[in-house]
Amino acid sequence: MPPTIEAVRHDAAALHRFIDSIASGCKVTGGSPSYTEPSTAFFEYILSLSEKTKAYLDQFLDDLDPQLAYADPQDFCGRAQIIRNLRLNWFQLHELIQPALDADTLHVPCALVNALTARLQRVKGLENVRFAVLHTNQLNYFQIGASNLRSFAAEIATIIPGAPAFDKNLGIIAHPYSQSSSIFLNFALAHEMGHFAFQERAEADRIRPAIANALKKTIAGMTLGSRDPEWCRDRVLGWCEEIYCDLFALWLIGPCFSFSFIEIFALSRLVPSVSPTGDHIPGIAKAATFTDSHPAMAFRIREHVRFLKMKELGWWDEINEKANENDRLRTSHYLTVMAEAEGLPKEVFKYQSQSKPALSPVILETFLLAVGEVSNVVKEAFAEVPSETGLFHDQRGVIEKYLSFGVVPSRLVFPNGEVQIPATVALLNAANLFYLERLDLLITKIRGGQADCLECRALWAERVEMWTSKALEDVAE
Amino acid sequence: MRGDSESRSRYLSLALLSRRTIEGLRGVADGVPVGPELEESLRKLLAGVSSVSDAAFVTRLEASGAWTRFEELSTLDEVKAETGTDDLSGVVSSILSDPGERSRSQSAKLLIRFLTAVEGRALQRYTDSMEMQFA
Repeated sequence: MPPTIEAVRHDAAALHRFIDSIASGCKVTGGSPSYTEPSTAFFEYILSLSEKTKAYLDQFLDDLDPQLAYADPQDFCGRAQIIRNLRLNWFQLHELIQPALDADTLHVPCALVNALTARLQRVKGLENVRFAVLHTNQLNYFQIGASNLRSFAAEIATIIPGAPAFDKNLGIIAHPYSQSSSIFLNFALAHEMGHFAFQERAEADRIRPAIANALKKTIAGMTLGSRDPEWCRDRVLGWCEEIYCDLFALWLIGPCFSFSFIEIFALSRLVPSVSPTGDHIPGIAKAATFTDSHPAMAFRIREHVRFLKMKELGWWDEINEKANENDRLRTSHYLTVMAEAEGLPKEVFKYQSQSKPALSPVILETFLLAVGEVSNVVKEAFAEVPSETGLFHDQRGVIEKYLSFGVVPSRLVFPNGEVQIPATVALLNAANLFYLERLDLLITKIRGGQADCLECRALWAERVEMWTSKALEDVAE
Repeated sequence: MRGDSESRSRYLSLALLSRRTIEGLRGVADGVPVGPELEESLRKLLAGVSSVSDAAFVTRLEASGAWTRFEELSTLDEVKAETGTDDLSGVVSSILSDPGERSRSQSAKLLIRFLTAVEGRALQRYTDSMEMQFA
């Protein structure tokens, strides 16, 4: 049966309805629920894109010559394929719009997002950035990739005449719907912000040469399929982007990012083993397998520690100063995990591709050769942004003392009478380390508090997060 | 959205890229000169489908933007093989080198057909992977 204009009209009308149904949810007005300004801007963009897409469909049907269906059915069908193209693109958008609508201001860690954004705005080229926040049912922050929605929405606009360009300063991040009141786990949002920076600063262009040169060495003498080099490059680049985002997060907010990473994946509870020769193998060595999309968790933590040890950051000595002060005798077991990951030899890391198994060792070797460039690129991004390690050094003790008495550390009065406002990075890391290492100092001050009671620990950990969040709000005012 | 889902969204991007190029080529088929944006896209397409010497290997892998990703190039290869489009480079070159309006117009029409097939293949890859996700 030959194609007809009537059939195309039907499909276009169905798409028109589909777009309407998606966009109608984006008509948010004042009142309840309320949304942050970036989320509202995102909804307005979707509404505008929907109007332009529908107008484009109208024009497309006006322009489509019905006689073409008989004169050149192939061309007719080819032109009408745009309807399938647009429908599937709106299908993809649909998946991400409801999560944005779910994330109203009551269900978003606004204080943390605002604090991270303020610090991010100090990075060159990101001075005007702001973030719309989505909800997700995935707890794995590192698989969400909300930043892709942004580039995706922007690409649709390129085939719709008159469609609005996506605001380049509007980033999109997602967090698990259950964690809106959390502070410590939400440090992983800094990694998502790294994806935004990676796109906006075109960091891939800086890393690709290192990958191409490494790949030239690793495949020398091999016989490859015609697109195997590109496949290898894209995979290695994907891993490098993940490492970039981790290191970006570390510079942005310090080692508390690593702590959230370890907690999310319960990496402190991997069981150690003994090698056939009787050597102790730390539990973290069990997380040494790369996946198609991500570097091994153990490798990532190894890179975290190496980065934190760099003199430009100087974090590692700061968080490992247990022996230097009488009142700081304990070190979190998370730091033990980190130290053990750093000690892993590169031979423990494994990758097995299901689709191209023969290339697995090549990709891993290429990545290991090229990944050093990633930290250089991150350092360049933060050239004008101090790590604030020194402020952490100065303010940690006072912040911990405040928290141990259940006081919100918004305004720090030092023993000599000096008053300081806590720096964001100092506050987040001091509070997180207090939660990890010294929570019992608080619990034992509470009448009836028991450090060995799980419920007590959970309750007071939540309180520490609340006080930290309140301090973030106060500091921002 | 890493891994499979990222690859899936790359096929959607390829479908959009194909359509964008097709819309530009429609004007060329009607005698409009090749604009700068279309020219850049076609040059990258040409570079992607051309064989490279060992010396140019690194340069090719350093390239970014349209027609440089694995999903884009491997789909071009598939459609080339299936449609018997042996001289895709020649078709793109003739549009870029301006050999005469009529010849260029014919090449543009050929490339539109080819890219329409690429667009369709990319959309099918996207839906195939959605089915795998729902299975």
